[in-house]
Amino acid sequence: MSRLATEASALWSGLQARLQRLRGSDPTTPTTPTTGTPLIRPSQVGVDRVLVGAVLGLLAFGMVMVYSSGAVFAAKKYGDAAYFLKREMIYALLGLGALSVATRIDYGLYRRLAYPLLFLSIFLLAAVLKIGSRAGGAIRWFRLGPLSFQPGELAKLALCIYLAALLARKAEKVRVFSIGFLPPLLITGLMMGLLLKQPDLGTAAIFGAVALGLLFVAGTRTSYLILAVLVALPAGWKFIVSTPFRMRRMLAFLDPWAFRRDVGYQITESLISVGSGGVAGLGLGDGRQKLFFLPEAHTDFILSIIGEELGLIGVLCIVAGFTLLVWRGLRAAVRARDVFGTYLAFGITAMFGLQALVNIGVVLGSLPTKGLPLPFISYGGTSLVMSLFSAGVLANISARNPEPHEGLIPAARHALKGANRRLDVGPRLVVEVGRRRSPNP
Amino acid sequence: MTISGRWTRVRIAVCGVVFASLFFAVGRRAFHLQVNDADRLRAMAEEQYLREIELPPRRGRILDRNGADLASTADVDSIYCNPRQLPDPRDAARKLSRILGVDRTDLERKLEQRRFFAWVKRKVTPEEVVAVKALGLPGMAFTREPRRFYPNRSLAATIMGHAGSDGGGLDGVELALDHQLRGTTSSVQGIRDALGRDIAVEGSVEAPSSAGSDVVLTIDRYLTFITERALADGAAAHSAKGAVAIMMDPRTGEILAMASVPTYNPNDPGGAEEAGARDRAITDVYEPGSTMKTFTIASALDAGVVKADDRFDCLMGRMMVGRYSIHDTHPHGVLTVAEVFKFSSNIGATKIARRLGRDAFADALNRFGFGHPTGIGLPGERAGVVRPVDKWGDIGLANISFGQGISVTPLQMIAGVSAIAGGGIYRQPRIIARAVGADGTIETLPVAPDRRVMSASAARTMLGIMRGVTEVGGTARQAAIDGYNVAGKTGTAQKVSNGHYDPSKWVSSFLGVVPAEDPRLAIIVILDEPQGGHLGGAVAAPIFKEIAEQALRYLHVAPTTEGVASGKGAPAAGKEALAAKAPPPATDADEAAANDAPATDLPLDDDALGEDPALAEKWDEVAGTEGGRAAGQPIERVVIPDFAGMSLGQAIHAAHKNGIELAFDDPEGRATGVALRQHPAPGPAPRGVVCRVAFGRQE
Repeated sequence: MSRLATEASALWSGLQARLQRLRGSDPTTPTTPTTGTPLIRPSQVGVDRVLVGAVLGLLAFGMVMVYSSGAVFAAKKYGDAAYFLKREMIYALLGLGALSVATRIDYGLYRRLAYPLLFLSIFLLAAVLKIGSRAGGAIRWFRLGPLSFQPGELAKLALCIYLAALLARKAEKVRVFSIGFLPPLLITGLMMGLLLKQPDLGTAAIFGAVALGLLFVAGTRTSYLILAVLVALPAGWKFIVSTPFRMRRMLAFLDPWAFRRDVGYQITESLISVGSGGVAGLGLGDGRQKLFFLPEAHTDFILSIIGEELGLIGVLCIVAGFTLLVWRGLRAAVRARDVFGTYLAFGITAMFGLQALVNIGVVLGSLPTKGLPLPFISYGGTSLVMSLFSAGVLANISARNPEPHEGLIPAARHALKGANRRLDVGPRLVVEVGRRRSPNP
Repeated sequence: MTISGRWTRVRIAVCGVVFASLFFAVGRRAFHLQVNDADRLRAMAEEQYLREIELPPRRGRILDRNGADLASTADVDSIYCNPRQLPDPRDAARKLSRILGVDRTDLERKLEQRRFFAWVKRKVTPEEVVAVKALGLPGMAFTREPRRFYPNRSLAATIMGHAGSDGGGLDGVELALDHQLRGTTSSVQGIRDALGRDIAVEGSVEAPSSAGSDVVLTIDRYLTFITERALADGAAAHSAKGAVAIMMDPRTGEILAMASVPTYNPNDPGGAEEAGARDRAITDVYEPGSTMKTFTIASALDAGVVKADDRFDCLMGRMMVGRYSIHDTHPHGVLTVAEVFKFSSNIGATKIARRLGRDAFADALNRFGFGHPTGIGLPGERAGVVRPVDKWGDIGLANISFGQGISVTPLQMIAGVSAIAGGGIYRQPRIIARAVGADGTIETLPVAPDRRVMSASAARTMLGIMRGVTEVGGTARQAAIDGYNVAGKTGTAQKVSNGHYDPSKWVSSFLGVVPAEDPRLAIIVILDEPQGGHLGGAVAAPIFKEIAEQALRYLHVAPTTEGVASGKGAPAAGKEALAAKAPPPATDADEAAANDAPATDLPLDDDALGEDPALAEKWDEVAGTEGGRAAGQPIERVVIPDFAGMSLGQAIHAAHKNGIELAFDDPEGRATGVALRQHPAPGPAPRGVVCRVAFGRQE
């Protein structure tokens, strides 16, 4: 007990110290001429290599597991065990391109594109309900020949950009109900409504959570947030109870073994899979559950196979990878050069973190079954490309580049010229823009 | 502004703490599942993907007393398919039904289900396989399954029963000795997928499966054949509803033949039930009628209450017992005990039974085995009904003395009369001689010890009395055989329907022992509801004669009466020819087994496998392989079998049998379907060779 108390008090005093430092920093420190207020003055640290490393590590892990978990199914369905791997590699290459481009584009650009992107996303989300193709009972995809595109994935980034831009612009007015609270929630609600039509409850819930998280970070009155949650809960409950399959899923979640032969099948197979892996796992490629026992082994339930083949060690690697990603993402948010950057970085990070948590929670039976992929790991083209692009945006924010002064077009040109090559290996040149901060003011 | 900025950092930190604790929570959950629950969940996983791949051994044969095959097992082709690969199930069903003669709508229904597996037709002929292959339909696959063959078709069918398509015995000997015939199944642990397909084999075969034992019966194929034919002919001539004949060796209790009408072809057992085919010798009970007098008088003689020449007044055919009257067919005055039997007087039998007394009579019936199953060891044997003695009353005693108010099985009757013929010693009837294991071990079934049921002298006297029946003036002159003295008794019983004796329904029977001086055969013939005549002497006795005559010749039993040249007179030319072909005496099973040849020349009426070319072909195949195996193989070298077309289980089995190690070519973990390629090729190879076999769907 005493040890715990000591640790807690140490933690508390550490926190106090940090708060003190926060308050103690010079409130009138000149900053780069931006509209937002930076939390910390830009210091040009370059792209966060830990952040990018975490993303690339998860991606590599994902490639291996997509092959291992999907080979048997692919061999049976397409006559080619590497079918999913090949497609995933193509998407990964596209995604790496997107990552590197996004890392080079100054994120300030998105602020100007916030509304076009938002309207495009809403339009596509609406359109997919009309002309999208159905798979597994949900309409989520546009099919373009061999490729497919999932507008929900684009909407994730668009929502983050929109909310970040809105909240950054409203600044202090976010505390006003009709300005800082209602508009973002209405837009988010609209998107959630369209997602629920697909139906895609998982993504909709993530959207809601990210929006509330951003509002919280932006300083919306806590009472509004509580109000929103209080309104959402009964609505969500009604939503679940009114759809029989959701209700059965909920029952299956509460007692999966009782529904082992029908709605609980997937979750019980997943638990069996994860559990049978033990600490060290059965060995990569030696899992049995992918022999058609576990549906969607290479997509939403890929972590089950990781748990079976690589054991607790494998699962903890994934958890650690996402923890690292979230930590570095929040760090980027805190250290962003302006509030828009802070909000955007937070939004993207929260998007990744929540998706990972929900997916892992589902696989481990802690949450009711949702159709959510595990970012960077699960098989799925749009998700991978968009996740990597978003990671690139995050990386760009983490770089704390100075804001280009040119307009929109020059900004883009500036970005494409490759002004920021922080991914390059080698000694980093730290360029301080604006007034150099002297060690002794 | 900056205050808000600072608080933003704090709020982000709060979110970070929330995230951290959530990630910690899922990590803990994973730890719980993978450490605390791991064993339980792993057991559940194994339960669903591990499965024992059974390697069933070849089912043992059923042989007659001389080693002739009555039932054997061979592999035949079966056709299955993956309906999902069929582009047009309706069209496929149409084409297949035309070739295979299966119902089109049934097949269509099977093929239209989008499953991964469906039997198209099991156990098909090689021609059908070729024809289906020629269709070139996608998704068709072929495998080999063991199938039970009965080379003699309906011969002894009701005794043997048959085995089902899964190889288990369903009736008769096949059921009774299923455990021995089946052998021990060994198994290998394999992995299967959720679709139930075998993926790979883990580990090796621990204990090799040992083939099922061969079961040797006491019946003689030839004697069974002549018994069945005579019975079937006789039953047909009298349009009988059913018929039974049993031939037993009274010296040993062995059943030599046991025939039932109607019978069925066990190669196609579908119609057996419908036709009413069953082993009536044990499953049917009937009122024996006058044949029962044999036991009434035998008991009285044994008890010493009467002698053969004691006289009884038969009251000119009418006697009152309480309110009931008893009649004789022909009125008689005073008759000796022998005459009572010879003329089959009901009144005489009643009086003899009265003198014996109720309890002594009931005790004697019990000793002769009535009211209990004989314990022959076949399924479905019935006990018959002997009412408790205290419920008999006077009329009950009278009725039972001439075979009414008691029900017995044909087997009980033959076993009882065999006891008289065998010098007063009851021997439990036996039809299963032994089970011979693949390793040569012999298993015999427990048999109740022989027991004396009457004195030898009384038995001898009784046999003498029974001879009168086939002599001049007896009720069964038609049972007399030239050159032999026949002891016997006719029986003609009305059947009970709706609580009354029905004057139009009869059970006619003849119970005979030959030669009377030194009995070798006890034979009972029973016809159920013969049309036209119904007297046992007219209906059943000639059938007895035909069977006994041929059997005596086959067994080379020397004629016992002087002055009659054996076999020169009566038998028709056909029968003569038949008998001439008969093998030499084969009472000694061992000696006969060494010389199986004569048995194969049996003039079976139809060619045994005739109507079914697939059967005939398979039968030849079986016969061929048996010969080949007998030739033996050098020990230093092994022979790699041709695995092509075998399933995983069959391949393992075959490899094990030939002493070859098997390796699977299954890069994708898909050892499903049948063996397609192998290396090295079939043929001799040094011991220890590893043969690689690739599995897949046959295209």
